[in-house]
Amino acid sequence: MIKVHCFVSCVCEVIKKTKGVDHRPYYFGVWDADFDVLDNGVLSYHSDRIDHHFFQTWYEMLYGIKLYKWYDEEQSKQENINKLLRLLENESPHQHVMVMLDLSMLPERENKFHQRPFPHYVMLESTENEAEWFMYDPDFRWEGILPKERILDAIQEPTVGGGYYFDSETIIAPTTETVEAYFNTCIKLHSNPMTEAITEIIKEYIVGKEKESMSKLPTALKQLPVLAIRKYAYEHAFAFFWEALGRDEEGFETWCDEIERLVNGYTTIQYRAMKLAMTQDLLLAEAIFVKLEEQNLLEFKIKQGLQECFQAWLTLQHKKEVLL
Amino acid sequence: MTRQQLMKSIYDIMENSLELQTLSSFNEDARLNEDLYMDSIMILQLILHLELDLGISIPDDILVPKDFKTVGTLASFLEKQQKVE
Repeated sequence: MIKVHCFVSCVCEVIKKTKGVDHRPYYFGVWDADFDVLDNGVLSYHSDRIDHHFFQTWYEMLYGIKLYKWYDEEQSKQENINKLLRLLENESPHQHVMVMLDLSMLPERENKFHQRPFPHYVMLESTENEAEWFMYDPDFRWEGILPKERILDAIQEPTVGGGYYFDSETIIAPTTETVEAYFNTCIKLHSNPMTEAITEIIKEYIVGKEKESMSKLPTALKQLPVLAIRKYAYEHAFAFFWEALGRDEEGFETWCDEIERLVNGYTTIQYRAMKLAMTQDLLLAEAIFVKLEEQNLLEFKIKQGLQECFQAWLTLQHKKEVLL
Repeated sequence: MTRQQLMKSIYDIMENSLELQTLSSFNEDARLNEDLYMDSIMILQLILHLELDLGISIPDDILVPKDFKTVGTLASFLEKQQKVE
């Protein structure tokens, strides 16, 4: 399955390595994860207003592992780097260190989105060689040894900043009650925030306060691919319930096709927006709004299908409890 | 347009419109992302120029990543679109 969120991917690595503990429920929080629309109408996956408190809290409730935020925005970059150095020098076997860096400054590994800067969470470990660190990127499935100074340069980038550490020794399997609560928190049966935000942004550039800047619409939607990929989180949820319910592979593949159609739909929207900006042909605006409405209907269909799976799963769990 | 002409047009747009710095790696098998360092936005820009500059109609509701994996798969996609017209 496609990785969809760098913070989530980092903290799920230890879950995946632990027998009897399932990481897939954690992805319930990803399909509608926070994003921002900046004051100038730009869609953004990362901003000062976004933190990971939601993921931090639910990670502990589901898996029993407390995520400690070691990075302090109030302190200088150097003070934070000193903290990172101490963490890596004193790490224990079960301790894991995450840091946000500018991925575009490490060109030897693939930068799929070619952004600059590209804020991204990775995991770090010290090696026997003091001048080198082991960097592990679960989101893009990359790992390797890199010069410590190069990594520090990428962390130094002023526009990126963040870091957590955690000890995986306390890991537990999530209870039915917690999975149920998390699902009910994450499933938004009556709203699709991302499609709604895109609709508002496009209106802003066509008839709103940015209407004199229609040529900048592509910039406003530049990060859409990064956000669209989060919709693959629905696959993790379907897979989790499908396996527990013992349903056939064919039905699961059908839902995967619908999810892929949703993701590709955002590519169509982005293409039409770019074409609109270049041609100024307002007929394209109509085609964009039609597509956005199709996206809404498709995502509500996916959410409803997932809700039905969840209900069946919950019924099954309750039956099992009665039998114990 | 012949496949060779399509390949030439793709190259010209990459050079003149997108100002790609990686064209020394251009060939039929070059991967748009991994070899030419095009992200999805730049790929869409390329397709948009192909549509607007060459007049090839692009069915934007069936844009899927596998058609834009390499220069060759893109040329094949464009050939198919010409036949559809």
